[in-house]
Amino acid sequence: MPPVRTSSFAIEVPAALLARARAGQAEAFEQLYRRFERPVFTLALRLCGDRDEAQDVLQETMLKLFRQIGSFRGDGGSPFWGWLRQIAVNEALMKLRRGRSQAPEIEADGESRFGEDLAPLPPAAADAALLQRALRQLPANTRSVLWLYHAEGYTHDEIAALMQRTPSFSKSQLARGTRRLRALLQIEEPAHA
Amino acid sequence: MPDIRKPDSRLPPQEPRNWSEAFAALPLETPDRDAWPRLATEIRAHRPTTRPAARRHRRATWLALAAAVALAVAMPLAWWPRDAAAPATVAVQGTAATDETELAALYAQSARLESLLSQWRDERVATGPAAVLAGEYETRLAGIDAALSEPALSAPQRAALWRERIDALQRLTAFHGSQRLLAAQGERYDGQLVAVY
Repeated sequence: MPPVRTSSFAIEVPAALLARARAGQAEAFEQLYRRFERPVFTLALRLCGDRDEAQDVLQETMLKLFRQIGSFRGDGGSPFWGWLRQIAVNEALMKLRRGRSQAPEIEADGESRFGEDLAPLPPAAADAALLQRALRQLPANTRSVLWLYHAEGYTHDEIAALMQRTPSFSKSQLARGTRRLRALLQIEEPAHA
Repeated sequence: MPDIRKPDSRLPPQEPRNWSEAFAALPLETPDRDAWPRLATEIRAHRPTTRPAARRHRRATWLALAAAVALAVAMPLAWWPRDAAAPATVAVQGTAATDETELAALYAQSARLESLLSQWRDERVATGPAAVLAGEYETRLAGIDAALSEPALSAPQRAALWRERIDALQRLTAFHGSQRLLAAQGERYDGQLVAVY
């Protein structure tokens, strides 16, 4: 059974609040901001790897939300949080692409296996501090693929479109990034009594 | 009596069974500073303002500048360095490899325009009507990006959307470039620029 991925963005917004925000009521928009401030910042930080850049992404995302909230239709049952998440992901990835140095990724490592990683997690993965530290050590593009896939539930086709790359790129970075993450966590593994 | 709504704190937390659960267990981060005050200020600043009183201007100068910038942005393929993987011309054929090649070329062109836009965009020189127009272009881009996120798109549909995205980026980049050039000369023709673009 494939793992269930629940995004931190999955917050239902009351229709009345959304209507007031669309009508231009500032206090309603501030309520939306407060609800999604931390999920947007966290996503930006995981992708960009820098707190100042994540702050910029938060600002730009919320500004775009203000400008475009009138165009949100919710057609086909698509939730508001999914639409907002899309804006945040695009802003964070644009920030990465505009960076002075090209956001790196893990080059070919001699391994040709791109299948799903089904091995047991290293124990250190359960330690939030260790996992966050290991994630920060990954190249930005690789980390972005891992986060979009595992935390936000995007498919390889979706990730490819978002990152302006191919599905093969997404699959290879997921596989290489996961191997690198395992290696980093094995090093970090706490000593057992 | 323990609160049955809450997990029993006496039990050890469940270990994550896979990477998704491990990532989901990470705590949300809190921004270092509250972004709302600045956001509220910018929201007020982006509301449309009344047009300034008409003043004398040199039409030929700003028209020529705007046209030059628009031309430079509209002709990137011939003059800009090209990625090795991006062919000079792209034709959509029925093969998956060709579709991926065309998409790769469109991605590369979009990335070049975004890089140029990041250099030319300057919110300091944006006022009233200009900010509104720029916001409209941004809205168009967001709509295209939302459409691109649909997983069921065929390669031709995706390519068509990317071409639309490139068109929007070209217009937005040309607009910001014109505005920045004029601002550098101490000129501001917001209304005229809006009329052109």
